[in-house]
Amino acid sequence: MKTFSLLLALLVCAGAASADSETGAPKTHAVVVGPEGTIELKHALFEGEDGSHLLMFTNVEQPNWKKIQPGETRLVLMVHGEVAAGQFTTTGSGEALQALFEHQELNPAQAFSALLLTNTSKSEVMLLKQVFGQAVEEGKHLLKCGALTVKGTPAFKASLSADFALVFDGFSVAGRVHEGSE
Amino acid sequence: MKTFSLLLTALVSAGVAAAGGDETPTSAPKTQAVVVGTQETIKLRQGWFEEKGGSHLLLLSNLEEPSWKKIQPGETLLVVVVHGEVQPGNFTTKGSGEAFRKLLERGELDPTQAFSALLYTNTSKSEPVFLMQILDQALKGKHLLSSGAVTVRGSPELGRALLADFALVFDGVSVAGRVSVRSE
Repeated sequence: MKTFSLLLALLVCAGAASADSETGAPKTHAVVVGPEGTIELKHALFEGEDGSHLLMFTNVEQPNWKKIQPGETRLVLMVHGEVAAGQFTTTGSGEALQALFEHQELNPAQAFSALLLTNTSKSEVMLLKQVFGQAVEEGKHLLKCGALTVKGTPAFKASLSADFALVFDGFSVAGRVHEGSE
Repeated sequence: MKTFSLLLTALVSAGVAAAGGDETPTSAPKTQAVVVGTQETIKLRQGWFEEKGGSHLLLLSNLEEPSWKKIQPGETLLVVVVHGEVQPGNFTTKGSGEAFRKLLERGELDPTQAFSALLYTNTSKSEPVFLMQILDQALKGKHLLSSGAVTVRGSPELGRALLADFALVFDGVSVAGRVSVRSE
């Protein structure tokens, strides 16, 4: 859980980051497809800590990255910091998430992991710490399987360009990240 | 190529928009997909669901009245093929022309080839493109997914029922979607 604490400490001091392309389409964004329709996630946080690229997406205009507001949908994507350009797939689990954080060597089967959560409460805020705890310890909110194509030459804490597609329980997500590689 | 030909025959002889858009009055389409690319997000809502050659065949388009045999200028067409013997579970693949061909032509289920897909946008301003031409290009490795993931739920029945969520990565484009089809 050391990594987890560091990650949360990072979130305390990090700011939001989103980027727009010349065409108006966000360079980093995602869309969730579920039984009720689609949810656009456009506000993204990009950071790196403990050997992983960390990306967070939300559907609210002014997110608090430490808390998930009522009605907010949050996607957290973690990509191993040593990943190189290529194609990766995974069948997600709590173990995979933990392995992504803790393993020093890159295992292609654990090159990335993700969690997706919608706060369905009408008034109660959820702490990200709580959600991460549930993901690691109980396997909740985690992807079932997913695919990731990393492009270019990623630089830890500096740049990442990738397309990703993820399947959660009853939801699928498509998205792209293009950060810091101008 | 036998299966491939049968698939095309089915598309020629069948009507427009078979099962797949099984909608309820208040909810989103049960079969839909979203394409996330560099320019825009494209919603694919018209669904075609058929069985041919031992595989589930799913087509989605962004047009209101797609032809299925031809891809109109500006149309984006997604073709998803899921092996007919697939059972509930999670599957991933790294796509290639070879995987697509094996999926269409082989009888046995290989978990690493449980599904495949192709995505094509007709960027012409006036010329439609025949689906047959695109499928032929796909067998040569064009338009195919780079990698993908599918979660199959319930009890699939070849040509009758398929419930699945899928997530696909193509060259510079990713797709999220779901299919919920159950023929009565």
